[in-house]
Amino acid sequence: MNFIKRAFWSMKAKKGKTLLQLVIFTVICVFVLSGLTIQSAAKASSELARQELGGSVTLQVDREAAMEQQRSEQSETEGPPQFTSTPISLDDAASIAALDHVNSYNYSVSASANAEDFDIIESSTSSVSDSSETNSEQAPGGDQGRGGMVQADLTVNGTLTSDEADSFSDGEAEIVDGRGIEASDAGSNVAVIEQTLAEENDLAVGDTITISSSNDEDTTQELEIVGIYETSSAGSDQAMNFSFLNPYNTVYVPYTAANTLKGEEYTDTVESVTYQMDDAENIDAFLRTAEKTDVDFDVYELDANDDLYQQMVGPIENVASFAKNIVYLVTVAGAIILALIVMLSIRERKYEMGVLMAIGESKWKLAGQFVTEIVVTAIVAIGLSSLFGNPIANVLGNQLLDQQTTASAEAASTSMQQGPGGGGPMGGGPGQTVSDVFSQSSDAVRSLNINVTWENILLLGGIGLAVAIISALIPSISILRLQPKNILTKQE
Amino acid sequence: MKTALLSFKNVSYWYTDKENPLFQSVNIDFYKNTFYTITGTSGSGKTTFLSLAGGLDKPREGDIEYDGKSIRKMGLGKFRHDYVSIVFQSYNLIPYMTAYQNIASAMAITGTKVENQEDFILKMLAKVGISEEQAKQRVLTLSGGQQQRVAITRAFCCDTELIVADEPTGNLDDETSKDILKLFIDLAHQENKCVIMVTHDPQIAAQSDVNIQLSNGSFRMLQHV
Repeated sequence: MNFIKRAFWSMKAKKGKTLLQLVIFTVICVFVLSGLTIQSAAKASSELARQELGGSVTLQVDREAAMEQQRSEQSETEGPPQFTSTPISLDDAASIAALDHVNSYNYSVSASANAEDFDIIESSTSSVSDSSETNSEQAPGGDQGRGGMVQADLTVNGTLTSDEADSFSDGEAEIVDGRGIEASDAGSNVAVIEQTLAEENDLAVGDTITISSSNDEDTTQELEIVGIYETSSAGSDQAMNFSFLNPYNTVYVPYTAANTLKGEEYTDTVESVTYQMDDAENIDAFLRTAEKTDVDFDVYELDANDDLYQQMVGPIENVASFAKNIVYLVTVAGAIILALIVMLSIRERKYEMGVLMAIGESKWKLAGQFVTEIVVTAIVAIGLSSLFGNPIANVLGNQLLDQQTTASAEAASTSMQQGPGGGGPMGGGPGQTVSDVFSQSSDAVRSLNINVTWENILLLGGIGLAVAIISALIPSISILRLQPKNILTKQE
Repeated sequence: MKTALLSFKNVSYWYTDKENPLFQSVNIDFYKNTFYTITGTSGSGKTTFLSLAGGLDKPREGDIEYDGKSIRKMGLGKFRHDYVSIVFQSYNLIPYMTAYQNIASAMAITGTKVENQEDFILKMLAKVGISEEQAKQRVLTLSGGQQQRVAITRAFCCDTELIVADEPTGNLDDETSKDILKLFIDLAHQENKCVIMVTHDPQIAAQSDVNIQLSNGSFRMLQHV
């Protein structure tokens, strides 16, 4: 092992060259370690986000198919087009809910109603309580099958659990008194109303309100208020003209109560079912399994909604991809730079090699000496970079993530501004800005938890040593062609 | 019958023109316990001959045998590693090492093992007039003569039967030169080694057991009794 000793003597004697190699190698290692660390942190954050968000799949009427059917029927019968929507039976909803990967599910039934014994919150251009003249927009659940406009004061959202309704799960609505609608409320006549509406009418939890169906005035319901919520939604532009679109005039009730308002034929049905997945990764598997159930997918469709997840992990994946490129680029560039340095050093050291070969040293041991010199440097550099890698990776990773998050938010903003109705893929309600939604939803990935792990250091060690060995071995190939007499003769 | 340690068998050597060889079909045997000198005019091929004897080069034709084995088949690297020590005209020391480290490295490469190596090396260096302090200095800080003495000691310390030297006393003063020459002669006669030395100095040649004179590709051997 004399060549190892020689390597140490050489490094000690050529301190300047050794230091230069050490600096270069440390810089390479810091970048590689940063890249590896950011990559693993991004992967961990992405998985965490995926698990936390889950993603959802909505079972609903396939509107395109329904429209197609409507068009074909219209061509056969001369008459006005009639859009018929077939509600989803609870049995169908339950059969899909029983599949794997479903964490929870929620029913959604939209209906419209008129206030019987309380005042609604008036929109600025509408003329109050007797709103029959003003609220003749197509109201939710307005029995599209029958065509025509309906008049309504209130939007009635039937749900299995209000906590999982979009407004509540997005954080747009929040219970401030009492409780939300729960699964056990099915069949009960209970309601959760908005705080402003409650205050306007001096209503509190425990009071009752009476509403009537907008389609059939004889169908009335007396609802006990079990909760009061507050909404941050400012409503859409249309809310200025139609009271039922005013977010204060939205009432949450059990889906059974909403069905009662819509009519007997809607008993034991829902308009849509939203299934929350255990993991966004399992959506495809869930969809494949669901297709095998008895649900008629000519009429219904399952709409996967992992937009939120995609938008949240998008910046992370970009950062991870960038980090991966850093690792590749720095590794290759580093190996080339080091190989060139070693190559130059070997040219300078031909005389030394000639002498050692003349004494009887084998060419492999000479190459071994160069490899040892660079490997020792690599080990020190790996040690140093493990000290500096963490703070640098943190700064670099989070800066990259910030840039990516801002870029994604801007892209989403542009996309939503261009889209109809200002709704957007993230379900931001009316009045909520895109950046609000994005900042709310992307909290989980606002920063990366970057920590250098032993796994990162081991991987860096592997890459660093590989770079060291390759960068020393490639130029060392030239040694194998050398003859001591030629070297010494040329030297002389 | 005495067996030759190193035998040149019909050795021919040329650089570029086969028709104009440096020497042709040379047959010479070298024995242990003998101090050989090679003399000749500049360009006569003394150093080339020594390179062949030291395994730094191989003949264009013919073969060189060490103890009856072809060094070509054995491999020049192995031959140099196991059997020969070379003293170069231009010292050829490793510049970043100390005198001590140069010798210790050579001993390690050739697998020479002695008890208490440091003492051994320092003692050998002292024999050629290199102090312990000088032994621990980088060789480049030593004078040319001192470096030559370190190079000679490096060859002496490696336990090989064959020692080839290319004008080892060329950079030494007369007094030191005499001392060094005595060491070479003692090495041959007392340590039972075969020493082959290229020299221009007729006085050194006169002290050798055998002087080989090179002239225009011919070899003339003068045996001194």
